[in-house]
Amino acid sequence: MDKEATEALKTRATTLYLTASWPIFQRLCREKLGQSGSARLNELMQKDIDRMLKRDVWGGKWTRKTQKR
Amino acid sequence: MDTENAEAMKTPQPRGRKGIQGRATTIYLTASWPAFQQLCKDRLGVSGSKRLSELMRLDLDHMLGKDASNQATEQRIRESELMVANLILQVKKLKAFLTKLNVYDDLEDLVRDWKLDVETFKNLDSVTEKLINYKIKKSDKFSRDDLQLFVGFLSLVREKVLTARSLDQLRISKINGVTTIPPASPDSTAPVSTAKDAEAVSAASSGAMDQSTGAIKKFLESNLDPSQLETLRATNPKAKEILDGKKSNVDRVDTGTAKTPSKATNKSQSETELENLLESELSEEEEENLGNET
Repeated sequence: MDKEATEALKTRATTLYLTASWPIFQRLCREKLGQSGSARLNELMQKDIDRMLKRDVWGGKWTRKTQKR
Repeated sequence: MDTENAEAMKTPQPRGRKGIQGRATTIYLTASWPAFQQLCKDRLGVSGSKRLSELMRLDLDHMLGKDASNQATEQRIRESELMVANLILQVKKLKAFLTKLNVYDDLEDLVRDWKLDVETFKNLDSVTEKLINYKIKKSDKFSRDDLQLFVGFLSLVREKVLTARSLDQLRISKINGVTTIPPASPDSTAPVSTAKDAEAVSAASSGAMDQSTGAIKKFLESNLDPSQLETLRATNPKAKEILDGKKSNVDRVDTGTAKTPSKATNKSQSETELENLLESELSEEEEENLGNET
């Protein structure tokens, strides 16, 4: 595992402004997925980051192709 | 700590933001959080917290959506359990009454001779027809009313067995995690609000199978008032359907277009199963007590 990935796995306490659904979300995560709410949010966040970055890459290629035409 | 987090820390109490109630919550996030915040601001024009709240809500909906199907199954199981319990009670009461009249054994022998299929009850219609058209001999202890009561009893037993079987299927589906349960009939979505309602519905459902008049009607009327029937019709689709079904059954018998008898099953097997079904319903004590109540 490279240094960047190791750093990404390290967590730190962060205060967020979340909706009132947070306690329900925590409980469901624990019951259904067997993990904490924080861990699930981290997963969701990472997926969203990947999606946004992927969209950028794909969008860039598409833009270049259309520009060539 | 960034500006947004600092702001959140200052206002720990729930507050409204664009109509959504929220609260400052401390959670453990990976080091990707600052990058995520930046991306959200750049690409989506929203804060990281807000985006994360959206993601959380979507995930929550997804999880609750999964729960909904499970809850529907559980609800159906509970309803079926209630229904089976009520049917068992009614079967016991009716059997106790017939036993008290000292006609149950003779009637059971009669049905056993006609080889009632107690597995599927496919030939119950023909057996019922035979019972209704039975010419009472001088040596018989039972009367016409007793025969009709016994017809009702058999219908209740069939209803109980079939409902219990479907309940088993539902439980198996739940254990296997099968979500493609046969779609519930529109009536099953109607909630059984109280135990009284459930009993009334159950009583009505037992009546749906009845093809008799006189004593059976009296038996049903003792459980349901006409006003209750009307209320049930109006408020509970299941009761309405069942009651309508009951009417059509009676009509069918009156016109004499009952189904033809199906092939009889092995006699010994049928006898044993019938005996198990009918005789294991009630202990002697319960029979005595319930018989007195009836």
